[in-house]
Amino acid sequence: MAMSDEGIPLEEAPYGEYLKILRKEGYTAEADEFEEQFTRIFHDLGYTKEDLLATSLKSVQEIVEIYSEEVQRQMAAAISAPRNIPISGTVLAGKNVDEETVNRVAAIQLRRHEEEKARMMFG
Amino acid sequence: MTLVYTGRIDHLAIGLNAGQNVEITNIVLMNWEDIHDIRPRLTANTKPPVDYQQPHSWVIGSVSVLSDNHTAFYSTDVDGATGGVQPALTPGADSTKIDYFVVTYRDSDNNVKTTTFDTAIISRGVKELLNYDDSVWIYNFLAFFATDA
Repeated sequence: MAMSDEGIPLEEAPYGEYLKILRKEGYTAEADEFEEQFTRIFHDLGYTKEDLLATSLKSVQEIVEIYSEEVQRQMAAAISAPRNIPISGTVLAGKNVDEETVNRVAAIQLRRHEEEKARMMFG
Repeated sequence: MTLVYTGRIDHLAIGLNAGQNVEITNIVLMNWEDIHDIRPRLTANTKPPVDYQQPHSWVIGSVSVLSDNHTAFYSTDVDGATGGVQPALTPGADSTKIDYFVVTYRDSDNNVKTTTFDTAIISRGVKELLNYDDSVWIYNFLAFFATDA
């Protein structure tokens, strides 16, 4: 297993250290690609690359974890975003389905219901 | 928007009567409302029962089931007046009015309640994809009226 100068396993090494090891071991192309990918990730997370290089606080592993949490958070926000569905009458959910599925189906079903109602009333 | 529910559906029963029916348990969502002055425009293979009057006050609603639990609509006998098994839906043939169409659920105080739909007919069914792996069947229905108990 590749180690940093301080003897830290590669995946636990701070981001800057990780890049240094790759370059030291001669993996220049990989280091460039890695840096490019992570620059994008930092941007999505609202960090600048310099922030992380300067502090060296976060390991690659931590960054990936933060990133995947952020992606999940954004997906959840998108799923529960307002959809302006008109609701009238009675709406009941089944006991065997989770809230996320119910909301996703509701977005489709209640719109279809309104369409069908309009078709029945006005042709 | 997060929907606010008054309770959860335990099952939807379809069949001939209280003693002869199939319980569909994986209902995702069901809704219905009273509508006045509608003139049903049914799909090509949906025949309204002969005693449907137009215009009329109706209950219009929809119910969704997960894709692997929709077969009861195509296999359960729902018409006692006709011989043989008459399912609510038959591919390429007319829909059949459902003699027994009852949803059982809990209200906001956790009391078990039922709503019975009189002379229900599935007016339209469509499969919707949720993602690459899951799909849901959504059925629109009509009924003369609904009775809560």
